[in-house]
Amino acid sequence: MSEITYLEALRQAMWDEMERDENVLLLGEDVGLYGGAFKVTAGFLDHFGANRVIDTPISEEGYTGVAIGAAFNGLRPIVEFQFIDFIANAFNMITNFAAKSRYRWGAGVPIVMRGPSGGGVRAGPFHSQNPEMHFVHTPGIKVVTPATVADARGLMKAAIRDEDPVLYLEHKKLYRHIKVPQSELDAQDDIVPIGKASIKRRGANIVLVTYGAMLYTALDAAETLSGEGIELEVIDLRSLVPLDEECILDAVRRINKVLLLHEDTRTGGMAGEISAIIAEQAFDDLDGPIVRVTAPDTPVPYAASLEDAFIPQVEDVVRAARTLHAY
Amino acid sequence: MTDVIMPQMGESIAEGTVTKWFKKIGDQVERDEPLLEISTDKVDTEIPAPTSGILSEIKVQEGETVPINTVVAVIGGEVKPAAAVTASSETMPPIAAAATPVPPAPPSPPSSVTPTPAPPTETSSTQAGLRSSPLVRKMAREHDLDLGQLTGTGRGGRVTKDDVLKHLGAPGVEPGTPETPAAAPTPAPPPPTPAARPSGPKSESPAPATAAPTSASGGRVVVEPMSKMRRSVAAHMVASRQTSAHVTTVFEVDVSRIVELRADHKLAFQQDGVKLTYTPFFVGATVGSLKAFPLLNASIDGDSIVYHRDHNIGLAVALDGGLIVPVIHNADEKSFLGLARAVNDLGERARTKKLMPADVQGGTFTITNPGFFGGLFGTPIINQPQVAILAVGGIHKRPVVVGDGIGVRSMVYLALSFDHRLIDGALADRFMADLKSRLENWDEKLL
Amino acid sequence: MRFGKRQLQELLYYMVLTRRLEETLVRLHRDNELTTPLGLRTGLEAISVGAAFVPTPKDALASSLPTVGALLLRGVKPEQIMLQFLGKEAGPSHGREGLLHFGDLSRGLVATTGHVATHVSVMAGMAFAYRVRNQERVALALVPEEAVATGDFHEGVNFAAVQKCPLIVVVVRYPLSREGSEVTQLYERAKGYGLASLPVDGSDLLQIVQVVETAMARAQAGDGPTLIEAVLRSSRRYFGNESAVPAPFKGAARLDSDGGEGAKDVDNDPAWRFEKFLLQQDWLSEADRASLIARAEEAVSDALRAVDGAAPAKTDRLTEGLYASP
Repeated sequence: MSEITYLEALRQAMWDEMERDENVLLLGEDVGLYGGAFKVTAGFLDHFGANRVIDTPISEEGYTGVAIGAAFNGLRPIVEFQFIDFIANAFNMITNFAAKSRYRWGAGVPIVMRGPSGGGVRAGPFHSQNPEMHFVHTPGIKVVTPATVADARGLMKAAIRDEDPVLYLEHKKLYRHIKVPQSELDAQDDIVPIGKASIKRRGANIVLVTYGAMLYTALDAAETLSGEGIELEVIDLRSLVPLDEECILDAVRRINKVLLLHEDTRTGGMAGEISAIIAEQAFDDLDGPIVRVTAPDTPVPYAASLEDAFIPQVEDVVRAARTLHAY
Repeated sequence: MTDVIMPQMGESIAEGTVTKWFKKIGDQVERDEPLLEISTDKVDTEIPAPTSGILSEIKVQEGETVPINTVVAVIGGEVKPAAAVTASSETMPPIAAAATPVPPAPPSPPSSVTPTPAPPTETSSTQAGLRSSPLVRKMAREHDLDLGQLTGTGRGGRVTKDDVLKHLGAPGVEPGTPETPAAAPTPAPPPPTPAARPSGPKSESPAPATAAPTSASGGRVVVEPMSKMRRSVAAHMVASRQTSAHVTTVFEVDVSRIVELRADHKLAFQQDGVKLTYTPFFVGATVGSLKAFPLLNASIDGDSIVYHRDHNIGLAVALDGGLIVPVIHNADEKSFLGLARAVNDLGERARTKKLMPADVQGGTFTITNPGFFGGLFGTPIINQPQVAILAVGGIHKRPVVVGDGIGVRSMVYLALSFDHRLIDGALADRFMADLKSRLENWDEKLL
Repeated sequence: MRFGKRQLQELLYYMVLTRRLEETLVRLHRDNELTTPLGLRTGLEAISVGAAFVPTPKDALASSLPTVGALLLRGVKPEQIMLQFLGKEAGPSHGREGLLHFGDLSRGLVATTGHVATHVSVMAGMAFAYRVRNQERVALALVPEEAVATGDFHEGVNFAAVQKCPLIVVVVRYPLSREGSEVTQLYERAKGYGLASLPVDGSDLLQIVQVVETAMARAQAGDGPTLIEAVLRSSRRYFGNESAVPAPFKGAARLDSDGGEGAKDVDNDPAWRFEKFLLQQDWLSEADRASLIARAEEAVSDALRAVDGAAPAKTDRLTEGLYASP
């Protein structure tokens, strides 16, 4: 039985949607001839042709603008950022043009912006970042962060079919590390709705909310803690915008202690936002402080020793959970 | 200020009746909380509040019928008593902008102010210096506890949730007990549908007035007006007969393999919170056949044939006094588990009147299930504007010739009513043969 | 394209209407009925009317210049522009936007952002879509010369050049250059993209119409984008409350005799110049001119009546319309 990686699932989803809808096209640096820096789009150019798989000049702002214009004319572009760090170069186009057009003058922008995010592969400050909060903070953009093979496929399909700009953040560490048998993937729905979290583990003592590659850190920590009699419920947000507040609040009301985990830096991070939501809407259901485990407020460092200290590790989660449990 | 409108509960629905208001003017309503109940030709349902806020105006009273898209209520506006014109027109403060330094006390609707729950009233159990948590204080209020009498085991002697639970003698508070998943298995498969048998709904329903009109004209009759839904069903059935050239073809299918598969996998599905019925098997196989024969998934528009690229499968569900056909949208994109879950969910929501307008719209093909009470097969009436409908009879064990011997097999009759304007008998039979083959050779891997 | 007398008079009408509408907006501003910046300037009439005249609403147009005439030519009513500035519910963006920042894809109008060149690559994208979908359409982006200093301009034009998109970029140079670039001649810059550039007198309506036609023909022949460099002879901008109010458009002859501030500019002002040209050619009679001016005045008065008492933008939908579905 063949095994499907996270990367392959992402690739299949784009392929399927391009087969299904001739308006879907792909733009980015080296996505055509070279097949993408991570080979996500290998074979696309041959199959779909140069009008649908476009090798662009290095010009993130420019080709994001091109995608917006093409979307105004009925196409559904997928924009690749070779490393998601370079999305900073397109910040103006995304936050001012794509995010605001529907609100300002009713023109929807059905584009998908995707690319490899996240650290843990010793790639240093400009090939490891987690830029989600810049865009979570910009009304008008949806943000998804698939962590599993099925979600990589399902959220990509949903993103392509969505009528609004969707930022699809892949985690490069998961590309080839996460795989499932094809049959397991077949047993899942093709489409994963944007805005729905997923409970990946049930537990009665602490609810841990996370997203992206940190899901696996959370699950490993839950396994360790289970041996100590501390049961974690693990929620994978999957979408940051819209946020599945109901899923989080429901768990808080059942479990009463909350741990928030992300690979992104601390100040202004997703955990802070979720803390505020819980404090506002479920204060009376808290049996302990809301605890954050995040990266510190620094750039992503290069050296292995530094990067490991930067990215939350299983032990960090275990330690925080023990303290919270004993509170 | 948000308007609540009479929704459209189906393509052909023009009006709806407000049957019940769950809230009165001045009540605080939460988004998605049931606000009113309506009755339309197709469905009786609860309408959830589209937003949170104060119910400020009810424009349509119980019993009134209005066209779809009529505003029936307003949430978050100036509170207007239904009868009198508001006396205090100057009382409404200007809406606070996000930047207003000192927001007025009442929650202001538009911006991002989260509704704050009313502060709890102080109880005698609140003691200065006693360490607990918001949750523990809430539990103390609810159970009228004096927290001072509890021994705290938390950090610094804090009274924890577990301390309160132990004090209350609640069982099962040991760490590590997983909570029951929220999603309880949904009960009962979709019950029979009267689609194929328009003669009468369930046995406990009062006898319709038409049951014995002439013979009992002396007086031993009960006359009762038909419900809105019944009238609508009646009208649609007759209209469909007048529109389509109905022809029915019946196939016998050996579903022994599916019966076994279901028995084998029932438990596994139950663990996922899904009750596994036969319906998803029939839906899954039908979608496969529809893809092979797209004309069956079409409709007629004047002189044109409209091929639907989506495969939206309607499932007839019987209700007290009528029926409704909720739709599984894009059934071809769902896994088998997804189909099973959708079947459970739609059936459950149909019976509990929780269907949303989108749930009953856009069907491209319908499956009905007249075999529930033992019927062999039925000849269903097409659900317009579709061009075919499949009736699944009861599954019964029968002696059949297997090879040169006789075996006991689980058999079912499938009846396809199709619109002969568009579909010829040969095509219908090829579709059915394809469907039969898919059902008899069901691939376990698909589960 | 050959023009009939009627069409030429119609072009003049739109220039006059543009001027009249702008004057009215400035007056509203002076009277404090309008308190936000206007961002308007005179001297653009020929460019906004001329560039928008040949392309049809199927050809997308976006401009970071206050090209009121182009909007009017695409069927936007004067009262819609007033309502937009006034922030009224009935305005095209329902109070969500000011300035000329609104769009309407059914009229081929794409709204720009507040930045000078963000729309260049978006229009390149529309042009790209026309090309790959085999549509006989062109996209027009209008920018002031400052835009050429931006990365947005460069990335958008470069993409269009590489992909041979049917894009026309009109770069408008003011008399007093802001010196946004060491390369002061646009054709030199165009060479760097491997593009053609067509220079044109930005005050001469018919010349502008002609170069846009040429650029459209090139685009439709698959020759890719064209840069048009339109040099203005005279242009004044309105500044906040102490707006430099332009001389009212009363016809060249009157102004000459008035000796008004703008008199010396007759040949530099696109509207006056075109009017003079039509009069000289005998394509416009005094009666024609009077009725044309009266028509424009009536259109503006009608607009003023239409916006009188218009309701302010409603707050109850403040958070709606951000996404396709809630």
